Amino acid sequence: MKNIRQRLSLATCGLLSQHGASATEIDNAWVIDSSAVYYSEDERVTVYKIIEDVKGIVSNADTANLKVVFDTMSGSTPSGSVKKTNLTFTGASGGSISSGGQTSSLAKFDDTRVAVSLDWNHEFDRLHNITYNGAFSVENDYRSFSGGATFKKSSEDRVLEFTFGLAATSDEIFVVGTKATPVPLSDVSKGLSYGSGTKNTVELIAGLTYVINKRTIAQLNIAGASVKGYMNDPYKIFSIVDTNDIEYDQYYEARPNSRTRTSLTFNLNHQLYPENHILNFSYRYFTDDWDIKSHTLDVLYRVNLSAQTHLVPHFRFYKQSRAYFYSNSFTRPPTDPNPVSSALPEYVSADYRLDDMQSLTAGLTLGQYLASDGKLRSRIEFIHQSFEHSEYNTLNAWVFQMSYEKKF
Amino acid sequence: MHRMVLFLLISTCSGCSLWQGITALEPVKPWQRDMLAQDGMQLPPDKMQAFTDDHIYFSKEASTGGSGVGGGGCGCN
Repeated sequence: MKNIRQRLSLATCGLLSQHGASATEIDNAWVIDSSAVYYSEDERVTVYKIIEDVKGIVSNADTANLKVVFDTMSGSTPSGSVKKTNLTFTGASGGSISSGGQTSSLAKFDDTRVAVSLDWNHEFDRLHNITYNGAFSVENDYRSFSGGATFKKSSEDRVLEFTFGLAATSDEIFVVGTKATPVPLSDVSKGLSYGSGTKNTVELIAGLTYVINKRTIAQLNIAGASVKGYMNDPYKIFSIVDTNDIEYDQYYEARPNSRTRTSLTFNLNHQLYPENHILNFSYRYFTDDWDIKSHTLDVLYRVNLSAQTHLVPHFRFYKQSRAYFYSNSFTRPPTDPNPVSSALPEYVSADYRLDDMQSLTAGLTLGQYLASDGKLRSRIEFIHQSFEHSEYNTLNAWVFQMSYEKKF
Repeated sequence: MHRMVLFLLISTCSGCSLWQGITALEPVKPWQRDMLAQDGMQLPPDKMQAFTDDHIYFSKEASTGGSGVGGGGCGCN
């Protein structure tokens, strides 16, 4: 009996004297997630995307997450002008609107994008942490720089988590090959331009995450953003049409130089009993001072086929109302003696993305856990968009993505 | 008639096991967090796919935001 007591005492002392295992010993120190994406619209835009995401434990309290994205985009996109026209075109543009040129209803473009972001997370203690974020993105006609921080605080029992985030972004916009942007509401054929446009954004988010029970977690986020500056798309134009809706002139679009966005997002994850399939439900309500209101419903349902393999069907529904200055064209008799510019409203855009629209997505992901801490996900998604007033009233797109995550 | 349908729908949902499973408030001890720690229970469940989707829908719809702040913008077509 005494022998057993001594052994137990020795074992207890041994356990107590050991230093707590550091995070690097418990978890894998590095995780690399690599992804390739192919996005293709019917006879429109094609995008190839490579994403590298490297996450590493830097110290017992710090984690760094570096993400690098490389995109190539090509094809054609609606310019905003109507199909029925009396104009003759000197050449398709989109990527390079030239002085004196006109643009057909589909404008060709070709662009590449490199984006890099770094997240640095620091844990003050088991209940408080902060993530600093810095990012930049460069295209042939766009530059973006951003920085921000997100603070999280958990309740003592870790049932509740509060999130507060703040970020600022500065963007520069210009027509490819120039440092210029077209003069808003100017005649395309005149080729008038200003210097590059700048846009500054401040974003805020406040969130509450709640562990309802051991199978359910819910989250509510409220987010807001204030954007000021140049918000036109420098390639988008609109048609001046006669009473028969036939185009006889083209003008560059003009959007307001400020925008305030607000959204409320609810997320719910629940693991079903007894199958242990997982339901991910998300709903977002969005509104802004351009009169755009939208509802987004997103549902994933993870079906475990085995311990290593799962299937995830995905369904997404999106519906938005149009911006108050959206118009597919501007009607005015060619015989009107007054200049067109005197009749135009302050803001006009025929960008199809600002129209009344609905979007449906259906997709399927196959996920497989591989030996030696590897995880492979392959997915296919189909997106169908329909627009109320736009010249091109539907858009179909396919997305193929393959991702491989490896822990080291 | 509509009220009757609504009443039946609410009654059915309130009785179903999914609804009960989601709304059953219960304290969760640290050793009961294994299910919450699984990949599919994260917010979002797959960060790589969520990041990709955010960029696609940011460039094809007029709404954005709600999941976080910051990150590089783009002049997407």
